[in-house]
Amino acid sequence: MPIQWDVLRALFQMHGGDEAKVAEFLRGYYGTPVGQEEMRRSGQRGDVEEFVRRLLAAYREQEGV
Amino acid sequence: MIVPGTPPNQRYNPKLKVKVEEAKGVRRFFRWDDRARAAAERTNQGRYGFVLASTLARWAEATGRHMLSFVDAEWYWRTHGYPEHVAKVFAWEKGMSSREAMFFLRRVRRFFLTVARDYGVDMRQFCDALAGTLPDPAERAKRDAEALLEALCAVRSPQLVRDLLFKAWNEGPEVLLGEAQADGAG
Repeated sequence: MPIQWDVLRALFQMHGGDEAKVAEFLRGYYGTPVGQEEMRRSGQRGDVEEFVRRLLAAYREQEGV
Repeated sequence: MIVPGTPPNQRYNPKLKVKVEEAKGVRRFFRWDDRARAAAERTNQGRYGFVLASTLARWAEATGRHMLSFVDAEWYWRTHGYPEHVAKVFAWEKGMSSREAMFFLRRVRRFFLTVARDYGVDMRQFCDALAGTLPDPAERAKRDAEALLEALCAVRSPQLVRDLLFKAWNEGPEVLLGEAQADGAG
């Protein structure tokens, strides 16, 4: 299931707002076969690191932080 | 049995145990066959590991959920508890509704606490339990056990999980790793 903003918000809450920990969590998830499949389905290619970096940048922009 | 260091509010509660055991579909997971019991007689840790893995395998089969979902659920509530935002993340990761995720986390928590109380060990010791037959209980054994756990989680048949565990306590987990991985990949 594609990640939504409210899930990302919850992830930040879960990790006390620590972006490094959120990034680590997301890298773990997108490194799994399920996460890889999700990346493929959403047309994302390339490495997980880059994907997570872009995802978090988009989130920051969305949340205005 | 009270686990050393367990907060008072998580100590043995007969009512909770009855409730968990009588919950729909859970009671049967506590049934053992004779062979399982024989294997489990070896050590308390072995008994715990066997019950845990066997139960998770049956539970996964009954709910259509992957065995790793249960292991992950235990990690979620142990490290983050289960407030709403944690349930939301778990729901996303496992493709559940938030409501289902909350139910799942609570049920799994109760299950692990009950087994931990009964056998005096927790999930972190589960991997060590799987490594019970290895001569070196330190880091290498733990890594082997974690690999075995992952492999077991990928095995499709609960009966096969039980068979593999039975062999594990007789022959050592390292012997089984290839077998479990082969089935998981098959």
